[in-house]
Amino acid sequence: MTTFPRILSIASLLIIWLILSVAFPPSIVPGPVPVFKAMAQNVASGKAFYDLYKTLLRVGLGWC
Amino acid sequence: MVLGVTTGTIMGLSRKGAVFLDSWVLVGLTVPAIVNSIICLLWLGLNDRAAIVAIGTAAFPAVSISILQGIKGIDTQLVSMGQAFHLSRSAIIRKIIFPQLLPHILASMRYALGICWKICTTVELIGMSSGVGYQLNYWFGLFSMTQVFAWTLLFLLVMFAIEYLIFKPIEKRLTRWRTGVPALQWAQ
Repeated sequence: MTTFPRILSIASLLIIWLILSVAFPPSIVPGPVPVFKAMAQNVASGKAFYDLYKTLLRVGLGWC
Repeated sequence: MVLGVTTGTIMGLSRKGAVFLDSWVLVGLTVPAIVNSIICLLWLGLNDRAAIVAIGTAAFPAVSISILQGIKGIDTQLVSMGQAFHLSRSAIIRKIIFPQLLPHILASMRYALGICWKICTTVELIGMSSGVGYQLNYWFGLFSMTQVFAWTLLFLLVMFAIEYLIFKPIEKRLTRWRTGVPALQWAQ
């Protein structure tokens, strides 16, 4: 029952992002595709894991 | 969380404690997070310890206030009823006080995590050579909006994962006894 509104909520955010990326140049609002590609590259290179680990460690210990 | 829950509990249970700690919490709430981060980095150096202390001190006032409000809102008539039924002290805490405090604890856990993320990014942006905040600063320096968005999105996905894989199941398990508000049944 809550799955549809959740999907709709995420889809609406993506649509707004897409519209903004069309309306503005990529240096201001990059489109979802290049952003997802860059994110995938960061993850594939392993760079993202180290930085995420460091941030999560700090957040986790600070939060406790 | 530990500092916030302790402070909030002391403030909620003791009038003198509340008067004493009130100004501490007010100072914690008033000092901007960026000032907090700068002070910790200058005092403790550009290391993880400074980041952890900055995060902990920035998050504790919000947790304290939430716990304090929870303690103030405890239904004392239920506690009296428990005493009238000769419930033990631990049973009163476990079965009457804790369930009433639980929503406040869960809310403060989530709120504190949100604050922690924000402070951590700020600290990493100012004085760290690793972490998501550092990466955001690095790519900002190169004016690569795509990478700034990519790191923000990654950050967001981790937050979603924590929310849906850790917080929601814990909340569901701990509050399974609640039937929910009838008017809001449609939302579940």
